[in-house]
Order: sequence, then C-alpha cells, then structure tokens
Amino acid sequence: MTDQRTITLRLHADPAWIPMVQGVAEQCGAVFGLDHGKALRLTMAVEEILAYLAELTPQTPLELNVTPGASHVDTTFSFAARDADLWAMNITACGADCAEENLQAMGLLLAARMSDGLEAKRDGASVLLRLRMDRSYPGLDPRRAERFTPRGAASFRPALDPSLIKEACALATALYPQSIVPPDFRTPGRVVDRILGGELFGALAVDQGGNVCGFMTWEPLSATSVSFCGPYVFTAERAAVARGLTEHLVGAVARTPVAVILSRMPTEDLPREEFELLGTLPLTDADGASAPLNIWYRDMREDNGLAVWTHPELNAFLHAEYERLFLMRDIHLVSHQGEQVAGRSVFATSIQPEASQALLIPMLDGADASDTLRGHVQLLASEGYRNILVHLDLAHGWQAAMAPALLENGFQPRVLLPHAGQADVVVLQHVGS
Amino acid sequence: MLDLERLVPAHVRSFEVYTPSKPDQELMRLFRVDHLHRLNNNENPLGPPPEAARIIQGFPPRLTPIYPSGDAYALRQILAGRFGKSPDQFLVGNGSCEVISSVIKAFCAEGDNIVTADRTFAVYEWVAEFSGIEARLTPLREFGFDPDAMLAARDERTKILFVCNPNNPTGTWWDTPTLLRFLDAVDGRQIVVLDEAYFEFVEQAGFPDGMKLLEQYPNLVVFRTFSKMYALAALRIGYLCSSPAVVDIIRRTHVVYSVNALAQQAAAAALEGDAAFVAATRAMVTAGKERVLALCRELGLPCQCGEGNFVMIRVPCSDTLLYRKLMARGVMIRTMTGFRFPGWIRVSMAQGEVLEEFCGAMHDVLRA
Repeated sequence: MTDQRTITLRLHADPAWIPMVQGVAEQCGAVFGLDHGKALRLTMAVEEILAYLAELTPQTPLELNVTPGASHVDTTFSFAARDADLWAMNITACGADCAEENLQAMGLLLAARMSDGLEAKRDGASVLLRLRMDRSYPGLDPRRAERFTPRGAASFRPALDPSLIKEACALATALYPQSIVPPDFRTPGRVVDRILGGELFGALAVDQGGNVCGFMTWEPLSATSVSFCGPYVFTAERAAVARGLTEHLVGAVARTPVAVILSRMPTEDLPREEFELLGTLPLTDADGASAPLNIWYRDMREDNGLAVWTHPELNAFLHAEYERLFLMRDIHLVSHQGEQVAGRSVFATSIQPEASQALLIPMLDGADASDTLRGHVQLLASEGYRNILVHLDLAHGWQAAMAPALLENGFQPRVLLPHAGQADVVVLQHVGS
Repeated sequence: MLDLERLVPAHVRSFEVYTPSKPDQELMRLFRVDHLHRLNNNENPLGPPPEAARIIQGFPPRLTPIYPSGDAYALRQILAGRFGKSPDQFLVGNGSCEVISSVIKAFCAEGDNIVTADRTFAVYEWVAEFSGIEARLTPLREFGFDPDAMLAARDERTKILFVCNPNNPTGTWWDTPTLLRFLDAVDGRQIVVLDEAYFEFVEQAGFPDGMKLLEQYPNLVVFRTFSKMYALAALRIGYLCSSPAVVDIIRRTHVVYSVNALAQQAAAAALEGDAAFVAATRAMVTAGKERVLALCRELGLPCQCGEGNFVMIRVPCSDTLLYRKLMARGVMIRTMTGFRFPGWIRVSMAQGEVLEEFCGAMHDVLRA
C-alpha cells in the first residue's frame, strides 16, 4: 500500500525528463531527511536509472515513487514490460562491449554503487526497481563493556524505549564480534527509528534495576518469514536471558502469518536445541576475511509437506537435505527436453555493498541462461563482490530447471531454506567469487 | 481491476489464514506410514457414547432433504432438563467456535476489546482480531490464568473476559473461590465467558461448575461442547448457557440452522445414560496420564499435567522438528509454538496400546 507521504510521478522512459526526475529526487531527499550528500547521490542514482531505461526500453510508461522510510528513503521505478523487454533488467544488459565509456548502459550498476541497496522484482508483467538511500546517523562512540550480574530476574518486553534500545546496541557492539552484529547497531539512532517506524522489531531483557540484560531484533524476510539477529546477552549468566529473548520472539510472531523464522546473524547464545541448522554459507566479509554464516531456522507450525521441483542435477542434494531435515516433500523432476525456450533469461540483482554480497534471483528463463549468468559473475566479480548467491524457488519448475546453467558457471548448492519463497528455496553460491 | 487493498479491511489483511492439517490419508502418504494415531486434537478415541452411535448409524436418508430445527429446539429442551434451566438459556452452535463468534459479534463494536490469556485456546483471540476487535492478552502465571492481570487489563471499552477452565493447553484451573472473587470483582461490568470444553473430564472436588453460578451472575456465559468428552467432533456441535437476557442478545447475532439434524440428534442421545461412558473415558485418561508421566520421568522431560484429556511435555528440541519425526512413526501430536509455548508438545490421551506406541516413538526419537 502506498504511504500517504509518497511523492508520485508518472512519466515515460525519455531522457528529456531527467532534469525533472533529478529535481524531484533532490527535493524529496531533503524533505525526507537525507543530508545534502545523500540527497545528491539519490539525484545521481535516479538519473542513471532513467537514462538506462530510456535507452533500453524507450518511451515505456513509468511510475516513480519516493517514500520516506523510518530511517531511509525508498525510490521505486515501476513499469509494465513484455518478456522481451525484461532482458533490460539484467545488470549485464549492455552486452559484451559494455565498458566504462558506455556509462549510460551501466546505469543499474552505477545506481547500485551510489545507493545503499538496489533490488529488482517482477510480478507478471509488472517490474519494480527499488533504490534504498539511508539517512545519515552519528556513529557509536567506542566503549568497553563487561558482562554483569543482573539485579533480580530479567523480564522480557518489546523493545520500544529509545534509551534502552541505544544502550542495547552499544552493549551488543562492545561484547560481540563485528561479524555477528548488524551494522545498524553502530548507528543506534537508526535502530530506534526503524523500530519505532515499524520496520524492525526487537525484544529486550531488563533486570529489576532497569539494566538492559539482552537484546534481539527481527524483521520481515518475506510475507511468511522473518529473519533475526541475536540473541545478544550482556549478563554473566547467559542461557536464561537468551532463552527468554528467543521465546519472546517466537511468542511475538506466533499466530501471525509468519511460518518460519530464520537466522540472519545468530550468536553463540542462540538456544540451539530450539532451532534446526540448515547449513553454513562460507561467506567472506568486505575485507576478505572468512565469515562463515550458520543459518538456523524453526517452523512456527507443523510442516505437513509440499510439492517441489528439481532438476536431476540438484536431486541428490535435495534428497539428502530433506532426509536430514526430516521434511516431507513430493519432489518432481524437471529438465529441458529439447523444447524451444523463448526469449532471453533475466536475473534480478539485489546488492548489499556493506556485505560485499550480490543476490541473483531468476526473473525469466531463457536459452541463454548460462551466458547471462557468466556475464553476471564476471561483472559482479570485477566490481569486487565477494559473495555471489542465487536463490531458486522450487515452487517453479522453470527455476529448478536452471540448475545446469548454475552448476556449469561455478555455483554450488549450499543451503535449503524451507518455505522461504512460494515453496522451499535453494541457495547456491558462486565458488571462488 | 480488482483492488483488494482497498476492499479488504486492514485487520483482515493482516490476519493469518488458518491452515488445517491435511487429511489423514494424505499425511500418511507424505510421511510414508501405514497408520496414524491422532494425539493432536484432544479427541476422545473411545468414540461417541453408545446411544449417540446408534443414532448416527441409523440416521435415515429420507431426513436429509429436510432442514434441521433452526434453533436446536429438542436438544435445548433436553439440556434444560439436565441442568435445571429454561430452554431459552441455551444457544446451540456449530461447535464452540461458532458461539465464540456470536458472543463477540453481540457485544463488541469497533474500538471495543476483549481480555483473555496469551497462551490459551486461540479462537477467542482469532475471532476478535479478524472482527476488528482488540484482543488484550495477559500472561499466564505458573501456567494458569491470572485473574488480577485480567482485571487490570480492562478499560471502559472492555466487553468480554474469556476464561478457559480448565485451560487448554495447560490444564490449570480456577477453583470456586478464585472464580467467585473474579466474578465479584467484575461486578457485572463485562460479560465473563467461562469456557468449560473439558468440564466433563474433571474429577477435582474444588472445581467450579459454571452452570450453578448463572443465577448469581447474570453476566456469566458458560460454554460446553460435544466435541471432547462426547466424541462428536466430526459433527461440530457445542452450546452456551447464560441468563435469558444475555442469551436473547447473543441470539440476535447467531446464525440459525447452522447445526445439522444428525448433530442435534446425536448430541441429545449422547446425554442419555452417559455415566458409564464418561467413567470409561475418565479411566482411560487417568491411565494415559500415568503412562505419559512415567515416560517423562524416564526421559527426564518436564511436563505440565492438569485437568483435561491432554498433557504438555517440554521437549529438548524444536517441537516442530519432533512433530515431523513422530509423524514419520505414525504418531501425530500438537506442537505448542502456535500456543506461544515453543519447545512444548501437547499429547491427547488415548488407549494404552496407542500411548505405548507414542512412548516408544519418543524413546526412539529423543535417544537417537
């Protein structure tokens, strides 16, 4: 649903409108709380996207929405496109001769560089490009902390008090390795804004003296799943606080549409007996250091089976994972059997620069899937992205059928995420990226 | 173009669609088992009482073209006779879920709220929320409803207080003094619903009988069901009893003809000479609890065993994972995550051989 504060512009993909779009972006950025530098970057990013769309899908009707988030500004371009036009959504769309001098054709990539996040989604013929530009917040002053003995038993409550939230961010940052603390915690004001704005949720453990004993946050991952960070425990005795925070999370999402909860940044305090380990992604952080990521999950209700598709080349992996996880699935095999595959393949790319991570999600099948993937990997690797991942939603036979193209381009299946899409999702990772 | 965002109220959009479990045959196929013991829904596996079974077996097809009594006329007469009330004090519904809905619709408007516990039968909360009514949830205290917390949660817009006695899933219960203190404190300012779905299983001397309090407290509404002790869950039939004035109001929001003829006849028959059946069921439940408590001791598992035909067990793993592992052995239990008891399961009592199979499966799974 559109936010009442959203500024909407309807136009066509025509470079003549670039000055107008720049003006809207600059004004909205300022009014919605971006500092001058960020507003300028937003202005440049929307210019790149419009120029890009104007070249690749000239005169396409577009809708531009600029919406203030709790701690950021969202800018979306939405438009209807035929399958043939969707190829333009590949960040490699400028083709083999794409080079630095052809900057206009590299618009999506440039926009990604200038923003704090870029994602593309397709729903039927509707395509949506979303740019996220975060507001600037003062950073946390470094401090030392030691775990303490609480005064009396801790109680658990929703995180709503800004002072307690900021204290919790500071303690988590001081007591846990940087790799398992969300970057937002280093700008606690952002965390407060996101929680009070309803984008992020949190639980606090507080002792009878009012001291913050623990913290945990979560946010929607999809319509039926949430991802969580923590639990972060600040007391010497850790298990009870960790368990209380986790139970608070489960209680908060029980009896809601949430079907599964998945870890994003789990700590060693997570009561593992309550969760199931899906696997470990051997990620690398932006500095090149190894940062393996365990992914834990728990169902919020009984899992009574699903039907999923798989290509024979992923069949062994899936069977082994389903067997290990005790998940009952009707697995249907799918593969190309000589049929004509129309059009060219399209992959949406979501980029998280701070994590040096790019996530590819298939939008459209095509005979050139392998070539398109190769192009994506080359481009993203050249941009310095260390972690290139692909999500395949096994509800869709055509996505499952892309397995050979992924495997021949150096991707390996790593983790199965139950119910993370329309059905289960397989995460593949490019080896060597 | 269909604009559901505009058409659908926010409280409906945000509500979780309840997905019932798949049919047993489908579950057995998926989990590759040749049998399935249903220990998940607190059903009574002894089946309906003999008189009810006779009615069900003999229901004449010639009656199916004819609408049932729209207000369960004959059954209300029987209930009135059994409890010493007027037939006008009873309202029969398509399971207790329907009468919950009727009560909320009768007393709540936009901006009103209901108060109940956070970890109890979910339908009070669900019906309120998808009706756009706030459900104020108070934490259980030592697994039981907290009367003081419920009283404190009220405001001038509170219309109904729902108390599940004994509570599903914890089996905890308010004794008579506790209930009377609560009703006196409410002092007629709100409707108090006393859900006694598991009343017939209780053998504790101090357990209050809501039916005997109705004259003293005209704001009290008692729920009973034929789905549990009387094993008529498939027919969906339950009822409420209250003061004539309150029932007259609830009747206005209650859909007539919602209870089918077979259910009405079977329910009436179930009450005929039911003492032996009730005693046999209670004996099965008592023996079952002893067996399950022994299992908990053997495996070192904490448990919560109160009144009702069920026991809650704290398990050393995700309850949803345990569910899948037990299903693969043909045993279906209820996970408690949805009840806000993560890491707990609820097991319905059944015949000895069934519970032996459950106990064996628990040993295998938890010691593997």
